[in-house]
Amino acid sequence: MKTYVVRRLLALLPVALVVATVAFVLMHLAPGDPASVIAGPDASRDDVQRIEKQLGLDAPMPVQLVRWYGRLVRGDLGQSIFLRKPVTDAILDRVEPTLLLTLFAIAISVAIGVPAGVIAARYHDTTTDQVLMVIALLGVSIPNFLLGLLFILFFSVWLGWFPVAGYSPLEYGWLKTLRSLVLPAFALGLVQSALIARIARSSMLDILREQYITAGRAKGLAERAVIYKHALKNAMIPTVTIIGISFAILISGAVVVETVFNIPGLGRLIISAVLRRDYPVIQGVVLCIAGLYMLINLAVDLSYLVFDPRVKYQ
Amino acid sequence: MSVIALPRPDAARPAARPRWLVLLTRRKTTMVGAGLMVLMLALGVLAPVIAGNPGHMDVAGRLAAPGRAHWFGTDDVGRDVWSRVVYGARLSLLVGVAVVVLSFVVGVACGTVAGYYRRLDNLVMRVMDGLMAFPAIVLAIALMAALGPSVINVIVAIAVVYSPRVARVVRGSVLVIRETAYVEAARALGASDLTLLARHVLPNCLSPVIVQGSFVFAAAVLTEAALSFLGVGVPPYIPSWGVILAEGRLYIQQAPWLVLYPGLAIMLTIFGLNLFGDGLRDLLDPKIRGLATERQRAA
Amino acid sequence: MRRHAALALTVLLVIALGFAAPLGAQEQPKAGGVLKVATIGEPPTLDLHTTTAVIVQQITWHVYEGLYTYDKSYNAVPLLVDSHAVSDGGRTCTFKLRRGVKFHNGKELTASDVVASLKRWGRLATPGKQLWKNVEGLEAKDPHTVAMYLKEPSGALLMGLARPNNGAVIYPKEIVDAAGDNPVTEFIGTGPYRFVEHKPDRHVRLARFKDYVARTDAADGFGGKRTAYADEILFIPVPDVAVRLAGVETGEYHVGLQIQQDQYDRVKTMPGVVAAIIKPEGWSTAVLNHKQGLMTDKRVRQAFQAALDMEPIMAAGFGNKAFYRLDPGLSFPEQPQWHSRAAAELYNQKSPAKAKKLLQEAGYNGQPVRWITTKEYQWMYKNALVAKQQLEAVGFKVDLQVVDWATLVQRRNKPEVWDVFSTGITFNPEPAFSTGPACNWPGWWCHADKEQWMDAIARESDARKRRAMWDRVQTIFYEDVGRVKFGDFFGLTAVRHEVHGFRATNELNLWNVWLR
Repeated sequence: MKTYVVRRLLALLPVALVVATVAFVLMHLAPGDPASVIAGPDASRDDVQRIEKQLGLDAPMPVQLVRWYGRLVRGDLGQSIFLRKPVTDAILDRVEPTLLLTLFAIAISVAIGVPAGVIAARYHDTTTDQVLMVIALLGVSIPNFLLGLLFILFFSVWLGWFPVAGYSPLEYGWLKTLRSLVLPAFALGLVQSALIARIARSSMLDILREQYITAGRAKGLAERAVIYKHALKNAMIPTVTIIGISFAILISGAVVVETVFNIPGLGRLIISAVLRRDYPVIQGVVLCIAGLYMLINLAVDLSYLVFDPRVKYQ
Repeated sequence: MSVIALPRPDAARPAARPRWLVLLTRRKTTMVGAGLMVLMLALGVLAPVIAGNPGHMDVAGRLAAPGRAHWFGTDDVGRDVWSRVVYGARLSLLVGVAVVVLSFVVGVACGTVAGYYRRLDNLVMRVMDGLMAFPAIVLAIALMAALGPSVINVIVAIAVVYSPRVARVVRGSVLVIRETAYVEAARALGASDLTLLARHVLPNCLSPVIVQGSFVFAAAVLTEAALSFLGVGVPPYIPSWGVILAEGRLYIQQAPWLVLYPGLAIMLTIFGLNLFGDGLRDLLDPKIRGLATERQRAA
Repeated sequence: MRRHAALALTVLLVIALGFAAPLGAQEQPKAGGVLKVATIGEPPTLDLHTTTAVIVQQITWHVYEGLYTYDKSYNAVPLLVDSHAVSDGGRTCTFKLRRGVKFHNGKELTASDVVASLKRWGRLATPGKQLWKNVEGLEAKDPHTVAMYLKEPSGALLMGLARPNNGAVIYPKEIVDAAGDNPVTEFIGTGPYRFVEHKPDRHVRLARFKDYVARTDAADGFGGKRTAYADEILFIPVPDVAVRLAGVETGEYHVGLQIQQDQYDRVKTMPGVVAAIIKPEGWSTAVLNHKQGLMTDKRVRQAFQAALDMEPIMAAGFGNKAFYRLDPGLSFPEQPQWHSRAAAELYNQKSPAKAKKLLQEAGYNGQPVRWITTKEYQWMYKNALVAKQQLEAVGFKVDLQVVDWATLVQRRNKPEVWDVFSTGITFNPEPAFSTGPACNWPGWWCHADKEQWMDAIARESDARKRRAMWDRVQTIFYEDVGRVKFGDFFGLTAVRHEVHGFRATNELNLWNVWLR
């Protein structure tokens, strides 16, 4: 098992290398030379040259690439053009709302998605199942930003239950923070819960087809006991890992929803960076999110080791 | 989390086609999905016939409620929302088809090469893994930042995002098929690699690819809408559902139709694609039910 | 959305209360509270000397003060100055500073701070550079006396010093010395509020300055006694106008700036919200690039001007007729001493035929007109969108580039990247300092005759002669097509009814404003 973990970690390295390279290439895809892009439109010829030197852009491409890896290893993501501070600082400033929003949305999506999926599987091929699954499919079909817009209309503007937008940071009290995140978290979480319901349902169905369930039924166990004691316990394994995957998915979903609700998180950071052509920030946020995404996927795969004794890795 | 799928042996045989169709049409949900897709297709293709100029501004008649002159009302500069939604369908269709074609050309090529020529497998698939390590929308945003706003760039960006996902599926199928007895037999008979690929391998991994196609299409439509909504997609004067939504949200209380109709259009389109895709999957590729597809869809 | 009669009545009552309260102002002002202002976006800098961005002025003039400011009717009145005297036939101006005025860092204001700040302003600020052409020297006579030596007498000097936008505010000398021509990094002034923090995309936080030394004369316009009633002011960037308005509706923000004008009818019926019309706010315009590219050809500019029909352009941008006006004047009808209809026939020509002919003469063959605009100000984008339709109808090819405002402001300094950009020329009480006809401003409309007249206006102190010169400038503006004016617009600000003492002005002063 240990060797497996080590091997998985090693396997991550080439992927990380590719990710870093892609981010590097993105920068060089940008129209114009990166130095004048970084220097901004107001920069003089000297500024551009200074930055060119500073970033080593005068060196040949492979040298630049190797240096770029070096800087990444040291955690140096460069300097934001517009915010005039290190990209890492800019990202750290914005992590809080995005993380909280994501966690909140996961809680919602699991709380709704798992029971819905289990019920649908329990009443497999009945009207209940079909109705639930059509709703879930509808849910998968609504873009989260559209749901967010409709929520603003109903709950904030017409009913006045929630702030229309904005984010109250934790330092002003967690209750306010929670309140400011209710609508965006639901907009994000409901869509995800539809996905989770579909997953929970299929994994539940897979397990219900297993022999030990049939055995349990044959033994004369009540259907309730079969479903809730035996099947559910085992169906939880893939479902729990789904939470991990959801985390990764929702972080990128937050990028979009933050714009609808004017939440100053990583999403707003990257969108405003795109509009301002603040390339180091775009690069930094993309790398940061991709890194998180990779780690979570790794954790999810490794979690099978813990949760499912049947899974064996060579 | 790689997907290994064995196509049913009869799936590619011409004789099975009629049954194929019969099966496909038997499920009501699949038919609803197909119906919605046909509707969208019709809207997109017939746009110049059934809708006016989506960019024409009649400022005096701005923010008119839906009525006889304007079925879906007018927007804040007096453009006909119906025309814009219809042309939005055209754009979504264009983006969807172009992304599917582009990502399939790239994805099938990479996937086949990786699956068939084992020496290249590692290299190709590491690059694909690297691209897939980015969440779709984030990579698309970053690409748009580098490329600049235009319809073609949106297509390129989304295709780059989804090609690796296609490549993965193709590679999985090729890996299995190349080891099968009939490919071995063909090879023993002296068939060249190219012939083998074209005649035996590729046709047999068609069904998972087709299934994947409907999901890529849906994802492309959604991603385009999201990018344009965020203001980093197509330029704002091109009617796209995302653009209409982004502009309409400013008038959400006064003129809810500006959000409602394009929103409904997106929902129905994606819903139709999902229904149809599910039906296709159940039919063509029963083994990749459940978790695997859901995770693909999610990513 | 139909409302029940009872509900409607309640709403009306609340509105009535909302309107009555600020007008009645019977209530005693009350200190305390955090005043939250939803602004249109991030300030590009907090160094007022370096930018004409309205948002920067609106935030920072609570922190910084200048020698003069405006009274209610936009005359210059002293602020940091106690008195001034003119000698040497109007060529020497001696300012006596108020004593005991403290900077936020505890230092007392002296003449050396004024000299250092004004010199920097004269070097960097758009109105400063213009005014400085006429300044020969500036010196500190003693710690509380500053003398300004002019080349020629000036009728506009005090108005220039009073101007808040890109204004002549006073920083401590040390900060000016440290920064030089680079942006200042410490934001210290003498104002009723001090700068606390700037968290980009979150807020700029100001807090009451405890040791503020207010003037003793009664408040009049922006002049007289200033009191910081609110403990803190938060300027929160909310780029989305719908969010700004809804935030005021739900009480999230007290003041929502730059609400879309076509939301007026809705704002009027919102319980607890007062619709404040800012009239005039400015005129909307397309700035043409006279330095480089397509628009250097006068015939192309004239074709541009001839093609446009301003009514739909303005209607698309501002919606409600209560918020725009078609008028050729570079000054507003609200300033009868300046407003002019000179060359009015060249405004709003709606003549596609003439435009086509001019284009043909110019040999225009479809080079794209690169027009930079922004959606951050919705009306700029919509003005441009409708104008694009009209221009393309006469044969122009328009490449509309939609960027964010900060980018537009950066890009417009580069003559090689654009032909046209959208902007608004904000209300300026003193024509001599208006960016409308300015030469040393993006667009670089420098025209020998016009420059002469503009210089003359700045020097002349006789009101009637100044007015005649201004007419000349306006005529040249239309004949040479300096910029293309679309029309006058008025602003809409949504204010919670618990905000008292609020005055509907472009400048936005939040001192003397309190929360109930």
